[in-house]
Amino acid sequence: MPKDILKVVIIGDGGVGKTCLRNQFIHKRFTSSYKATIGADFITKDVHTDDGRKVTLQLWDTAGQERFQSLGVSYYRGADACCLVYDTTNFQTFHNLERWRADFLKQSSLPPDLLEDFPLILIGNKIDIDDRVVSRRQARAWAQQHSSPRMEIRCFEASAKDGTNVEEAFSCIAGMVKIPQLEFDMDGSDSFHLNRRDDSLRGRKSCAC
Amino acid sequence: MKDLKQFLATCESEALLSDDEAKAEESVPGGLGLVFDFPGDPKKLKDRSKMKLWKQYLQANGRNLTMMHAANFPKLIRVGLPNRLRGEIWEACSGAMYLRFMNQGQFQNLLETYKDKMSLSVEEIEKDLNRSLPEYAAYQTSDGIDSLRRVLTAYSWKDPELGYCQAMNIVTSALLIYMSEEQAFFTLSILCDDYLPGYYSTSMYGALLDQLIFEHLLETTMPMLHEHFKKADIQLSVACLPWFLSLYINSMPLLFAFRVLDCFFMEGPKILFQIGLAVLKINGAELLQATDDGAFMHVLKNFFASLDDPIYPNAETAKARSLTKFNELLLVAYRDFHIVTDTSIRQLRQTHQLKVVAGIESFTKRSAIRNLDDSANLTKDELGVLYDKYYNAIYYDQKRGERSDARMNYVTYERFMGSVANWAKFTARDRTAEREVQLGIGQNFMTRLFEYIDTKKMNGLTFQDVVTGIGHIVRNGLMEQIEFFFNLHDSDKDGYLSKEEVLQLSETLLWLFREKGEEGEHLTGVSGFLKRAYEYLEAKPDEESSNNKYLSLGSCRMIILADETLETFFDHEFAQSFQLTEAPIERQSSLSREIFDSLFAAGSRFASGRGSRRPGLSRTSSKAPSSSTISSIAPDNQVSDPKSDKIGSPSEDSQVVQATPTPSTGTQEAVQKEDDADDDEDEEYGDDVLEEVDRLLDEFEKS
Repeated sequence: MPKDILKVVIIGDGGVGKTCLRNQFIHKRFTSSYKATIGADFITKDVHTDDGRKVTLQLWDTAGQERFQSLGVSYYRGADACCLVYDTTNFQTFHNLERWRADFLKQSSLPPDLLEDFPLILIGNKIDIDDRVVSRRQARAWAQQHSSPRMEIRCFEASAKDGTNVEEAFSCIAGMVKIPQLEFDMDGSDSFHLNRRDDSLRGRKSCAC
Repeated sequence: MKDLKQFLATCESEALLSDDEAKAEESVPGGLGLVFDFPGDPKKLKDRSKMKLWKQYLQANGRNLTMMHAANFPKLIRVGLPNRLRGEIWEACSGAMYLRFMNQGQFQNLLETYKDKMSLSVEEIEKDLNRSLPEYAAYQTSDGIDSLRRVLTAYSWKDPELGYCQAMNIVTSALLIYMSEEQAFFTLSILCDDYLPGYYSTSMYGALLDQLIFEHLLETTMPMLHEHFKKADIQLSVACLPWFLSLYINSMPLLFAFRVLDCFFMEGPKILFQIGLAVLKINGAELLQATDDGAFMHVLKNFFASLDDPIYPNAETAKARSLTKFNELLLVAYRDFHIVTDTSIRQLRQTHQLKVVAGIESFTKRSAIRNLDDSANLTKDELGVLYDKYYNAIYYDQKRGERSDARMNYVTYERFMGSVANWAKFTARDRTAEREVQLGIGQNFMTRLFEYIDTKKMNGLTFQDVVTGIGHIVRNGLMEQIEFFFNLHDSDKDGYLSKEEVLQLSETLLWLFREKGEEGEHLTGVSGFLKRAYEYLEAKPDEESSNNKYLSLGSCRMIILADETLETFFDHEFAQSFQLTEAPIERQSSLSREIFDSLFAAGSRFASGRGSRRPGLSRTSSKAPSSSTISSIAPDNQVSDPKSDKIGSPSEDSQVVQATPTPSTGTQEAVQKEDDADDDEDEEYGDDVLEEVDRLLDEFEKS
């Protein structure tokens, strides 16, 4: 039985809570006892999307420190979706999303004409802390600015600590990935990345007609 | 002598051998384990017996600074060090002890000097303190956290260019269990400078370099597996980079990671490669089934989690049953990958470094250029040249921060501009006394330009500022360029140039033309400009009654357009004076500088491993029985001794590792068809060292 595996990459500045969000989603609990992510690491979890599909999310957590970015180890390759995470109590982490998004799109090695439709979501973490400096409106404006007609960036404000919106955000991303792409994933052939892209390109062309 | 006494009081080995051991030990500073207990069951680890063996060893062979490297030294280390001595042996093996002895007080001084000072590194350290080794009890208290903070912060001030890199927190938190803060500080120095050069630097080129080498070694030792990874498009470094960066502390159960560290400090970075290759080899059959990064990492994670499992749970003897997968890993690492030597790693580092440099530099450059908000209509190539020149200039005074928030101050900007435009170069002649006035005029203009480029008034220029500023200047047309100069000299921003300001503009022009020869049309042009400008002075419309006369932008343009030389200058000459095309000679990048620095400045430590680490070591300690004894504990020795290219010298420790019954041969066949050779080696490694040590340990337990 072929399985749908979605590779989801979680990126954002160091300390915004990428690992904790993921752990909350997977284990339904918050722990302050975890290690800084060196390089990258992933956990998988099965989820059911709204239309009843069962998919396996492969959640890739990445190092947030800037110098790890230049390593050029492409953790982003073959990603199906991306979570951009910032800390609602730290404006710089929000500001840096721009760079994270650009780096991601560049390193994902997607063809240029697919870049703007790539599934992204935005998660503002730590809303349990009473010290917000990034407003909901700012986040929405950012998301809107980077959305395309075919892909709307959804924004979530979440708390890895108390679990608010964590499930919602990750389920949303599972639902965002288009089905035709998945069918090609199921082929499991050696060159499915290529097939998938070709297909998406074709789909795009036929739409434009 | 006083220094020595003071120093010896910090050595566990001194206490161990003193007449009143218990009392002496109380005063020796040590790791967090002394208070929060050392990981693992000391009984199971045979800690007491190991301690007795070491006591004997130290009595016979000297201790701390004067310890000799006797035949059974590697054996004693490879079975795992006893808790209380572990820190000291680590620092003795690595050379950190000598560094600490020679720099007593440095750690405390750094802490005092930079008390309460903030930096980007300090902030980054603070974020990571609670997520270094949270499973160890000390790091759930402020005692442990404060210790970790002090060591990391002090180091970030010692080497501000490196600052702090994630993974250093994990390594340091592990060191601190067995070491005092000062010991850990110097051991961290040795790691960053010597064992793992460039691992934690801002570009992390050292870590990338070792990944390349690791891949190369995989290709030569296990071609099938390498081929498979290539075919399946699996990236080795996704899993392996963290192994190297955190010295397996993040990957293996702690107790085993410390065993690896024991070997690592004794034999150098080659151990990291040997262990890594052994991990891949043991899991070869399963890895050949993995078809993507995810499956690949899954196999390895499972393996690390099972290191404590027995290999022969149903064996007849207790001895065989007690052998774990970790024993197997160590055996495979030493036996099957003995070709990986310190010398070969050093050579490979040299061969591959340029590839890495080029790769990183082009990556950072491309991403910096890509991330510009505004390219100011400059082409990619022009941006590339600006990038090189900007970072080249900034490299020299980058002793404080990271690239990302780098700002260029005025002094650096002057140097930078000199590399971009000839007129901005201050030559020795410019600085002579007779040209003092001219120099002032030039610097005046340079300051105006600096303030113009510094749009955010931060008193420092980012790469973006420079791109925007220079981009505008070089794209200015004739009229815009005149206006630009006009505005630059309109200090009070009233839209007019006062007499004084007109004079300054003329002086600026003269200065810009200073290399064009004192005679000639440029000089005539400028003096004509000044003369006519004074003729065209007018009163401002709103203060017609005043006697003050000014030059308007309109008149200024008119005068300039009347002179062919000046028109040419504003039309394109000035814009073209910015050299934004490739000048190959100047393209030495900041990163290669970084590497060349570590190559040459620090005594070519990068090139020759640890060639120059402890200058005069043998001379400093008169207690040494012979000059060769101390250095013989250092891996340096292996460099000069060609025989020792295999794990130490064959005579003494080629049989060092626990010779287990042949481990899982199935996987080996899958991975490699070189097993024939193994037969011979099995004989060579036949002597069961673990048994020998175990026998010794048992004897002590009985007595």
